[in-house]
Amino acid sequence: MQLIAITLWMVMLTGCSTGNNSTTITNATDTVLLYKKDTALVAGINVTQTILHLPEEKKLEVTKKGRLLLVLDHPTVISAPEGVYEIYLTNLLNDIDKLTSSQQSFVSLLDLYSITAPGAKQQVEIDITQQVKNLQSTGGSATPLFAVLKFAPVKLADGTFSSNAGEIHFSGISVVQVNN
Amino acid sequence: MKSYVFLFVTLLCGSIIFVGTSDNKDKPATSVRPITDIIECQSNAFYSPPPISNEEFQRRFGLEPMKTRKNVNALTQAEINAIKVGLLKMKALPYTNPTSFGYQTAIHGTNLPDNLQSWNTCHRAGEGVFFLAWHRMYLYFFERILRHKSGRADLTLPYWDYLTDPVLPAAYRENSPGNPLYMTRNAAINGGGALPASIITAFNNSMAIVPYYTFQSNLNSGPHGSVHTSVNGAMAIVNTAAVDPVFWLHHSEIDRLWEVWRAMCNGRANPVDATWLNKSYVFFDEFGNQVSLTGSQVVEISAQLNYRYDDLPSFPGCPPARPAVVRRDILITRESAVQLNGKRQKADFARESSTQIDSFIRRNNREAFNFSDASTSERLIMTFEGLAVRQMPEGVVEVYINQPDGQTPDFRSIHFVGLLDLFSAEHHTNHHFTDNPADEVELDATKVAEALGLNLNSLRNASVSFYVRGATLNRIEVGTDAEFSIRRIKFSLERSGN
Repeated sequence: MQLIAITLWMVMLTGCSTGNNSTTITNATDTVLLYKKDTALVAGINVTQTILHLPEEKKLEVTKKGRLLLVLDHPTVISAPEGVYEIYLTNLLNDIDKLTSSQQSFVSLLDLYSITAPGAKQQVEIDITQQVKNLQSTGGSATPLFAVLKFAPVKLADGTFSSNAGEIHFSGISVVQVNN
Repeated sequence: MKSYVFLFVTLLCGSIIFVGTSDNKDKPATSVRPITDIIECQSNAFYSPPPISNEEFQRRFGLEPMKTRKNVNALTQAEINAIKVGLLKMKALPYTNPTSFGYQTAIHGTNLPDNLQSWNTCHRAGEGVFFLAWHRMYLYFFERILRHKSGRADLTLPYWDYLTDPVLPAAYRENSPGNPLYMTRNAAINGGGALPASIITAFNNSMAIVPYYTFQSNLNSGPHGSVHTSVNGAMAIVNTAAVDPVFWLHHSEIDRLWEVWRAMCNGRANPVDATWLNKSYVFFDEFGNQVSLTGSQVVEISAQLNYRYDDLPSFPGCPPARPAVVRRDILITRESAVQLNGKRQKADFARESSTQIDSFIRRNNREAFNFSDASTSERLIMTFEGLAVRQMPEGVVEVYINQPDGQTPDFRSIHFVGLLDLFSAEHHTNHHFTDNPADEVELDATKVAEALGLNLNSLRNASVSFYVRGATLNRIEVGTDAEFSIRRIKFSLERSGN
């Protein structure tokens, strides 16, 4: 199966603006832990790799009522893929080529449908709370963290796989701690 | 024949709406309410009439024979043709007619500027919690209209079970003149390609979630949307999705999966909060009458909406909560581990100690099971301990008691107990859930014991067989293997009361 993996690079946030203006999902009690603004994070063409580095003092903590969200801003479908994009969280860079949806690092699928509704938020929010818990329970630390978007193509009638990964742009990505 | 015209003054949008309604069942099929009496509401405000009572609902919609929604791949050509006829007749009507295809699809979403009654009511901001209920209502009335137009009294919306056959059915891919089921879509899908396997994983992950709203949200945002975008074309956009006939296949499947989720029990239940139960939406029936349903009116599809799915029981329900005090006696334990690496495996109990059976018989002075005693609700439980999965099959693992040697296991036989839930075991093991023991699975073997005429002594020589059955692809079973081990298998007798 042809797979195209795209990892999203998040910059280290130490005392700089956390980009609160980038997202509308937050309220006064939410915390944007990480934010990276990019002119175009392109899925489907470039394979870029980005590492989520949290400052020592800023752990990815999951409170009892809190949730951690991976937020992709302004997804724009330039051309539609013949397949889906799988989302993974892993702290092992070597695993990226071997990721499959049966593994615990599989989070969900990128939902590019709901954002087409009139008035819908132009963000894709993915709850990564369970995956962060998993990482912490297995390795102690959930960082560095690799958020991976991997193209999973349609299997064609002749048994081969589509190579059309499409092209999707995002204007920014963030990890947000939502306290509700 | 009586008909009524109600005058509603909608304060919210400041417009006047004349709504003609009729609740007469004998209204001629051709008597479609003129739609010129709808004055466009310029506001996005939504008119929501008071919900009709259950009695009124029954009176209005009658007690017709139960309708069965079928797997689209099981439809006859005549049934496919009836759907085509219904769609073509709906498409022949002006889009302002509430029973037209244009009007009905605009209820889901549209790019047309008209804001007619109920248009664009899917995906309204803040109403995501009604995702499943809204679509159930939407499909229900669309189905009634399609049935009426088709002239076939037993027509139902079929479902596309992409979890077992991820290839779009051929009837929807045939680019022949006048085929209303065909549309331009993802070329790979229209060419007979299969949906990516991770969609199935994502659906299974959703089904494992117990709280309703979390389940619904997970189902909606990941796998549901990915089917839309994988099919592509009109399906990929909310405002045009319902125009593609695949939409109706897809959402019948979503509706079916909601029922499957409920039937999985173990705490899965529909909402009981008043907001959800009383939320009302307006649709149109096959005569063009404005009708409404609430959440509370769509929780039992057979009893309230008079339909079922061909592979599910008519009235799926979970066993009542068992009394807090439940006694469980272990009868016999297979201490030798069972390894399956391949297609099938058999585990005998003949060499195991049966002292616990002897003890039970002595204490209770009986050798027979007592399943019919309602006061004790006796059940025979099989427990599979230490279940470790190394390779998940592309299918399921069936469990049998006393499966005769030399016969191919058949899940319709009296030996079939159920499916070994490898997914939950794997999920719990790998995802570190803590609400249940990670590696223990149980099956209720009561019915099999009754059917086989087992008694307590029979268990001394019982055998348990495992059979890996591949998923069906294009009606052909996929060859698949599994690899797992079970540390211990127990038969226990569970009793409550007394």
